[in-house]
Amino acid sequence: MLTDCTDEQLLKQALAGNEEAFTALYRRRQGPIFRFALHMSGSTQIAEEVTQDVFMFLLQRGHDFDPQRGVVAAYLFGVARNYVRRALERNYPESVLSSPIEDQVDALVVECDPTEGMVRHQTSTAVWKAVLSLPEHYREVVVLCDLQGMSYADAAETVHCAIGTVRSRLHRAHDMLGKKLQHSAAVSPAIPNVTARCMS
Amino acid sequence: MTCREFKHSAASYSMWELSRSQDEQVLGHAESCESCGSWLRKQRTLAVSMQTLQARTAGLEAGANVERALLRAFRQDTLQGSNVVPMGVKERSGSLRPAATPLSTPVALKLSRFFEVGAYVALAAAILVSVFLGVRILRNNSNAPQVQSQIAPSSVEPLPQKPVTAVQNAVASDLSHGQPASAPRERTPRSSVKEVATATSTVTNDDAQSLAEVDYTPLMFCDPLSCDADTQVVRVELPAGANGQSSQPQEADLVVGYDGVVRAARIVN
Repeated sequence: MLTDCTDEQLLKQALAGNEEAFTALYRRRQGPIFRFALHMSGSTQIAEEVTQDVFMFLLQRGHDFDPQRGVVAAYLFGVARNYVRRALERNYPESVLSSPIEDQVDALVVECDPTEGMVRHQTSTAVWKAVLSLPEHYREVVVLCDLQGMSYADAAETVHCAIGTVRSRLHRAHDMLGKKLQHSAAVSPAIPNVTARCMS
Repeated sequence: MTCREFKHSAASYSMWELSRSQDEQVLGHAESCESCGSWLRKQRTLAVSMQTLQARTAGLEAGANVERALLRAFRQDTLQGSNVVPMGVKERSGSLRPAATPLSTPVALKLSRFFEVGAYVALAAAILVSVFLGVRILRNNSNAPQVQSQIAPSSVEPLPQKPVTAVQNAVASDLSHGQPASAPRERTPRSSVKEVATATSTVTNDDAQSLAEVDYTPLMFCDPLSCDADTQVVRVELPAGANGQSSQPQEADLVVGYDGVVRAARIVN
């Protein structure tokens, strides 16, 4: 029954004291919020803290949400964006670029070809580090549009800017990522490293 | 298509936003222009890498401990009722904001509690001060008769003026003989004298008569202003060995002036 409800309906019921509605809303939206914080910070701990803070904020200030200004998901991403920024200011640079996610990612993926899996792992890790090294306003549009699959319009609503700004930032971020990946590939080519790891 | 138009359209190409005809134009220019073709290949590689990373992280979620902590907080809030919107409250313009915003209440509540606590503290302080002052006044009132009784107990009758005058004369005569005031003070140091309030004895006229006959040791120089005033003889008990001679407690008579200063003393046999 609750699975058919919209986010706004679930939020309304949750604020009225319905625990099941709150649980349903949390389970529906915690994954994207967690991944957004994880992609932005590179730290599982920060991502969990941000996820908890976002939904605590929703409990305490959920009545401030105005459906005329946007959807609940964009509202949550906007709150998460602020908490991620605070967490990064507090913990930077210990959290960023540490990539503790790699172990969790490996645990989730089952590769048929181990060599191909290693190459994918290295490629995604290189992309991951390149994304984390981007400036924050470029990083967030890459995370929102490329990694979260959000539309330009939703991303613009989340970061509170025009759609054209999102497009131009994304275009510029892709250029920067291409250069970073090219540089990292020149420094450490993927295949020889994989061979060396397999031999060892 | 120029290289500038290609770069402008290429971002949309990567997001699959262009129509098929525009895609063909972009691909045609990438085949004809080597630099643009290289750029497009890099973007494709990047897009594939992004999709790979997205796929690898798609299943990640927050731990169960986060959900437990949130549900615990939710239940606490529900029990306290701080964030619960009452059912049936009409929304304004479709907003979820409750009719009575709970955020404005705590400020006034905190202020009122602050003043309430302050009033209690002030009241408690006033009670403490009044109790303290009352105890002090009672102590003063109760101490005054005791001091009076110590100075002039009911069992002690003040000596008649005449014998006292005789004592004063004896003291004055001793002083006139040039005895230093410090000499007797060494004999009976004040620190070794233990006053016993109950040791005061009744002095009769006969005793007073005998006082004139017994030499008192003057303890200070007397000027007419101080020594002519009223004095009183008080008998005290000295601790054993206070004078360095006897091992038994001894009694002494002290001539005490109105100012409480001992004018003279003698050892009672």
